[in-house]
Amino acid sequence: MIPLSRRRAFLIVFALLLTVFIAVIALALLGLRKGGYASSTAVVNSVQARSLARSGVADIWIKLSKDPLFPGGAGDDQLRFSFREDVRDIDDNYIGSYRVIMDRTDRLTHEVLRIESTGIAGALTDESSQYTIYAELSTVSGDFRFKVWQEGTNPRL
Amino acid sequence: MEGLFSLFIVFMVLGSLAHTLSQAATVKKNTKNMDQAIEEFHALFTMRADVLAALAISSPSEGGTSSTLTLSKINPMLSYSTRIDVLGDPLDPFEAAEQVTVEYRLEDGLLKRFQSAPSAGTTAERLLTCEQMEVSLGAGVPSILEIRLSFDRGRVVKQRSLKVAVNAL
Repeated sequence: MIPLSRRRAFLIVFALLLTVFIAVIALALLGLRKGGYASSTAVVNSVQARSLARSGVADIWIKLSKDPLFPGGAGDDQLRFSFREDVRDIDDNYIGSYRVIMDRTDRLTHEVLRIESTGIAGALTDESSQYTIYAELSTVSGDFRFKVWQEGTNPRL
Repeated sequence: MEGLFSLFIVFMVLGSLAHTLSQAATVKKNTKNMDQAIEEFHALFTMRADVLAALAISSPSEGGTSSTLTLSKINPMLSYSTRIDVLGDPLDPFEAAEQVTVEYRLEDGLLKRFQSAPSAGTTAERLLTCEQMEVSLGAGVPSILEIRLSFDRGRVVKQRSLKVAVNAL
């Protein structure tokens, strides 16, 4: 017959072993989902970068619709111009930024401005996703509008 | 005493496990819903990008509603330098010969995108399962084009809509 003290010790050891066993199963289950969480987060970041890129195109469109000679101060010899703007939410949290490149090479010959906007989700030190929109803006009088709009392109300018 | 302590440990661990698993199930369900929503948004964003690039919209007609969206835009396969090539090509970078026709319509319960180029034939892309599509276009220029998509998600039918400012008809 097994002494009572040994049976008590057995219960505690059994409980601890069960604890470890279940904890390992739980961690393994959570680990399996890690890839799914990461991919969902990546998709959200991509959507955010896409929205930031659209903001960049809208920004340059507004600037040019107010001032057809934008950027003021840059000489005609400067064919390319770029700027970068940070974007924050209403609580002043940093969301990301967009970088806009404008090519004025054919501004006079074809009345076209080539524009590229890249949205960057996340902080400069922790950029999580980028998305680029390429557009061609007609500057013909009475026909000031985008005539080419391509999303998700590789940088061209 | 040791028995009670052991039971306490076992139930505490089992309770934690049950909580963790229920939270994981909730996250999995939310992730699935989010993935579906992102798939729907992606389809709408693709349509919006085409509408923003449209040089002309032939369906729906001005002030009308249609179950298809048809438009013409510059062939994205042609680079800008190709389109302004002076050798055997007019200098207009937006001429008709360099355009493609894009059509969105439902076929066999799927939302499909068809792209027709004069020299390359027609290519079709399947975007996602969709029950109904309705596109309406306001009168005049500039105007608003509204796209409404309905998705059957088992017990519920979800509707997504998107409005795009249009500067050309």
